[in-house]
Amino acid sequence: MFDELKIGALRRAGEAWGRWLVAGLALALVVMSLLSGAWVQMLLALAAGGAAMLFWPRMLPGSGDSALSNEQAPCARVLEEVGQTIQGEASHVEEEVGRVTSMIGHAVQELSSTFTRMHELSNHQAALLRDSIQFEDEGGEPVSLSTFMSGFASRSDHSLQHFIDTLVEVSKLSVQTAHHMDDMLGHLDGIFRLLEESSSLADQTNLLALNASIEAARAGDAGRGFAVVATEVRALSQRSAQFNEQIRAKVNETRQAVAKVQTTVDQMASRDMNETLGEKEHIQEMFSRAEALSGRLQSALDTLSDISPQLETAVATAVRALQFEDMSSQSLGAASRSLAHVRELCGDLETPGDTEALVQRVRLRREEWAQSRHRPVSQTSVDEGEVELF
Amino acid sequence: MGIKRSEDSNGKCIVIHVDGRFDFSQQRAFRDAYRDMAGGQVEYVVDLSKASYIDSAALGMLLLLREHAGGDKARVSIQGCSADVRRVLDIANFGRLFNLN
Repeated sequence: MFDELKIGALRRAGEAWGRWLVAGLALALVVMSLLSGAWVQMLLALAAGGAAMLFWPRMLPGSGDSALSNEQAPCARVLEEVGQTIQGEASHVEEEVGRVTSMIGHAVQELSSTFTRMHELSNHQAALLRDSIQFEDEGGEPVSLSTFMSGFASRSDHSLQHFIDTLVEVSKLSVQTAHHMDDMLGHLDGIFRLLEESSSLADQTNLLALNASIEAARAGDAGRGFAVVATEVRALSQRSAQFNEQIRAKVNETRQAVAKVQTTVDQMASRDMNETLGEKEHIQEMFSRAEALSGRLQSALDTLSDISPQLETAVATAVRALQFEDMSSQSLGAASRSLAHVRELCGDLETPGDTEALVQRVRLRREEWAQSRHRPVSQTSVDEGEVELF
Repeated sequence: MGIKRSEDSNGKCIVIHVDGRFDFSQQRAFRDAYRDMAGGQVEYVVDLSKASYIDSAALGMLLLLREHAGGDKARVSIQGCSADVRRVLDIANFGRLFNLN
């Protein structure tokens, strides 16, 4: 009677141990699946664990009401089978964990180098922008693009005004020259009047000489000498008339030359201001368009240079987020260790020996593992902490 | 067409009327309109209300009138400009030299 009770207690202890072992394995699978993101495996493991907890006694052959009368041998065989199966599954899961670890490692390496490149490019872009919007005024002081453009426009406006002022000044001087020419023509007209006076004097002298010759002829021999003088006077008056005529011709040439100069001066003085006006308006319109364009360009450049630091922050955040690799590989490492424990446990199950000793070994292992286990990841979020880039 | 001059009763202000094109061909008549007046003693008004066109020679003539009237102390005003004439006077910045009405 006592012996029977003892065997029954041992058997119940065996049943409870197997049940918790399977449940523990299922729990480990659930944890690993959660870490690697395999939801289907996780659900399957959960279902298996639940089923083991609920139906364990009925799954063992010979368990139940007649448990006390069954032998230990079939139980050991079942444990061995289960142990081998779990061994196989565990090694499969270990392989998967290894593959996931390596995939994450590679992906993170790629992402990290891509983000680094992005960061370099963004810095390069920002530097290019800074260089391209850097303008200097005449004194070498840095000025904005729009200030530079309006300075340029006002300088051009100033130059154009200077040109117009010069044009008007030239016209003024030309008109003044024309006025002097007019004065000169007036003087030439005066010379003409004097010449006419002189010409009429010569005519009168000529007439007088003619009268003197007539009177000398009437006087006969006594007037012969006088006739010679009268002829000489007449010749002089004729020469004077010729001389007058020559001067008149020269003065006439001078008048014609002055008239030509007047024409040239007219051309010099006369500029259609409407052409200049059109040019000025055209240039002003161009500058106002250029200023509008430079204003738009400036605001675009400002926006771009605002974007650069934002881009840098975004890249830094992304690189920081890549720390999840560390945490996940720690978690996966812990999962691998748990799997190794499961396999050790399976090895124990397959080793033949007496039940009490097995129970003791399993309990020892459990306590040892519970002590050695620590939290796999101290950090639970990638948002925490700062990462210095480069 | 041409240049006419009118003056007030006491001879202190003369008005030069320009009719038609105000260009180089008017230079003699324009000067004749003011050359016999004693420069700085008189106030000059140039009436361009009938001027259809002005060119740079006309601007030169106006500057010569200003010099005759005493340069910076001159009292010369230009009145009755049409929009086109006014634009030409503005491009030459005559507002700083003359009283433009």
